[in-house]
Amino acid sequence: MSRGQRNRQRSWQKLGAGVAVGLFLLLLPLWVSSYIQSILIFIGLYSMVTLGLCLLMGYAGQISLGQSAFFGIGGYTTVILSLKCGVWPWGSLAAGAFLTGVVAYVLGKPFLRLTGFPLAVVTVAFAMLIAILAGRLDFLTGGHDGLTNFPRLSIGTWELTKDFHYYYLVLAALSLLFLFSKNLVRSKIGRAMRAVDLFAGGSETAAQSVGVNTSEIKLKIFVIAAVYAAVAGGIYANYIGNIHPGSFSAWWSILFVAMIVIGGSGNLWGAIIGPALYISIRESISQFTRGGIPAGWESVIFGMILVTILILLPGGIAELPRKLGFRGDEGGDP
Amino acid sequence: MVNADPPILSINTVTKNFGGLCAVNRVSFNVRPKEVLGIIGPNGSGKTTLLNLITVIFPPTSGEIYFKGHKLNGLRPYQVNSLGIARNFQDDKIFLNMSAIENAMVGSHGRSRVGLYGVGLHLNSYKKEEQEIFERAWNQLAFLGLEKKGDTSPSALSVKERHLLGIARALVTEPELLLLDEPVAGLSFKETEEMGDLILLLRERGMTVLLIEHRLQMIMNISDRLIVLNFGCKIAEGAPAEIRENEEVIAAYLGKG
Amino acid sequence: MTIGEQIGQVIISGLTMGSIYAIIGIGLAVTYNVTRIFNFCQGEFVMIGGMLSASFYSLGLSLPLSIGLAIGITAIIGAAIWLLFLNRPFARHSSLVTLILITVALSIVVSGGVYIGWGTPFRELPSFANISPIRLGEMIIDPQVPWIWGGLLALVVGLTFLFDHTLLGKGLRACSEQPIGARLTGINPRSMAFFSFILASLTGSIAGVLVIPLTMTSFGVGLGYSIKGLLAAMVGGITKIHGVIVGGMILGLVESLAGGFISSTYMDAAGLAVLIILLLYRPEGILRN
Repeated sequence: MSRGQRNRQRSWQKLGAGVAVGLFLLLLPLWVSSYIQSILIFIGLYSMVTLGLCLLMGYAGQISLGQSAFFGIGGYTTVILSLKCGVWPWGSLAAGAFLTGVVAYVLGKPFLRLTGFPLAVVTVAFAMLIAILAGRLDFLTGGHDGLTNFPRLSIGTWELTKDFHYYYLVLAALSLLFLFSKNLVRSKIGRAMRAVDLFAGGSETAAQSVGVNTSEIKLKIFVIAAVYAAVAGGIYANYIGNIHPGSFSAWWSILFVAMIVIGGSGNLWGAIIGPALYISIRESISQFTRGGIPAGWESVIFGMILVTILILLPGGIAELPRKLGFRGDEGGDP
Repeated sequence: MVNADPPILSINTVTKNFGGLCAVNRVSFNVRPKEVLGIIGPNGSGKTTLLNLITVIFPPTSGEIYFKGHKLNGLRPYQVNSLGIARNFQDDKIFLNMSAIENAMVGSHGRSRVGLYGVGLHLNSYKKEEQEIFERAWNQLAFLGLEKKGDTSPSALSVKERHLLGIARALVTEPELLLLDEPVAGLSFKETEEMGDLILLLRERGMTVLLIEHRLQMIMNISDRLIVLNFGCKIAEGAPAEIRENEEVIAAYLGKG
Repeated sequence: MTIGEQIGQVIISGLTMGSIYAIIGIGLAVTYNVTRIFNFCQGEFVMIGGMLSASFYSLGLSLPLSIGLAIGITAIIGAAIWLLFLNRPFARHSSLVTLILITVALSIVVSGGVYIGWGTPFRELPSFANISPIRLGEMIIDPQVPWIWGGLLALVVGLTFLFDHTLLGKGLRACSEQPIGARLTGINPRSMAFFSFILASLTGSIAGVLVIPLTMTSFGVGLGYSIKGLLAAMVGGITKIHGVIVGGMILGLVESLAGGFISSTYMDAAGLAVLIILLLYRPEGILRN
């Protein structure tokens, strides 16, 4: 079989597989319980955050431990606008994403002048700062108890309250973001990102020498990642029905990075594998302890898995098929 | 090849100090359009630093550099490239995380127009532009003889191929002035000759070339004029024949061993 | 209180927390300089030191014994972490980023483990000197304060002695300044890395036991200390100990000033914000070399 024929056959196979998976996901709520749906919703929401992080870390090579801050800013903005300003919830969601993007743009410029570990420290300090402010600016954010009883997302007069409503919403949002990211990665922006990734063999000097405005591309991706997180935060707040500082402490930023490292930052699918694994572990443990205190064990186990992955499989789980010998497309395409 | 046109590049009394070390010391010279200007000098004489100053990888401690009337001081390197100066690197600086053709395609980034939406949604305008980017890159690879190596990973390329890829990538940016830093390092005698022919061919097509090299025979053969640096100072300037006889130049090289 | 006494109170309090941050930062700096690893576990060492000493004391052991055991056990934990996870054969192929991420992962594990063992309640320890607060005019100084200052001083003196006059210390310095040269003169970089980690866990746990009478401790405080310690070390300039001390004092003073003159709710936030700005302004550290 010629190479062209093989590629075409593979394309049909991929299309077929894609359609099958798509149908499966669409019909899922008919077969599974609300509980499972809520797990999938959480996986989907966290995946949106890690997807942005995957672009930023895995492709552009910039370490940001600030995603939890943008998750929170997006969430809080959405809630505050709905609650205190009477804005239409979908509008609040959009505004939350936009505002977070602006914040990321303004802060990204000075932040991204740093690289490597200093950048990580600044972003994690920023995440901690935002979480602290959220807990202290009582007049705005409701302090430690957060905000609740705000108008939630609805379509027409039909308010989204059931799990499967949010399941489809998250599925749609994640799919859109995933496709957008995939297009981004396979384009000139993807090449420019990789050109700037010092960890994987890129070179900022060389990129600049051929006309790439490296600061601009890093800033663009930073803002994109922040917006992804903000959208996730807004939907999260609407789903849970409240928002409080605990949902996005600096620990979450670290967990998001842990998720993408475990999932594999070189491949967009890693952004989904990471959260899936984390949530599976969390839920399995709470099943185990039957309502006891799971938090400690889930951290221990998740942390140990992270260590193991780091030592044995630094590329993350997404790299496993390639390591085991399955040949796929070139260039790190998902 | 005497040229009465205004210089394409003007280095005016440029000095660069790194802490206590003076790498470039009050160097001045002009580059005429469409000439091949060679820069030679013993190791550590400031040649690569000079190239880095022209592409503004760092600013000069004093002095100015003008390119086609534009002052380069204060610009960022990517802006220098969009004005029309491109370069290669002694260590190639190939992007190891993408194929050869993708490396070359990065060169079109600065000239691409389609925005984030077009890219993210893979609109037709984007697809058209991507095709153009691909063709431009492929043309340069083919021009340099790398057309069979488009999909190869850089780690699988030979030394010569890597040098050529670095130059191809620079050529994609459609420069008027090409800066070459030791393009024949590690190449065989025959490969060196081929590179020399290539440079002359580029010149015939209208490009101005500024060339740093250690292989004296090669650079003397293809350069119209030469600049000689020693300890950061310009010690001679002129046609290869004159430079060959210049006593100070000979002393500089012999003195350094 | 006169304004002078108010300022004095604020400064004293600032220099106290500043000393704690400085001690934590010194541990981070030593590890970084010798191994180029930013140790994210440092805050956990602080937390463990505090937790263990509180637990031993509540079990009835004397104060000095509780403290000594806490510090000793933390040092052992630090050694174990290095031996198991940051050393060959496991970490043979790992890049620097990976090693840093391993310390991040371990900090997750450690805080989770402590949560399992100790639960949520905050733990505390009495001040080292069993006296009532010191009074200077209208200013009230917690009796723990001199111990903290003394601790920093002792640490600096001890480290200076170590670095200047002992073979081990010189080996550490050699590794940080000239790794290849150090190797050539027979110094084993792995041993040096190992000792730097032990130093880190020692300084961390010392900070932990010093600060716990003032602030109590719980399983989740580690991250905060790691971040603040890192900020302090980097703002001052992580390559020199006096830089770290300056950075720590700046953080302590900013927090204290914000707490004293604005409001205590914004202490942490102000400290973080100012240091972030300082770090962005001068990434190599504000003390120019």
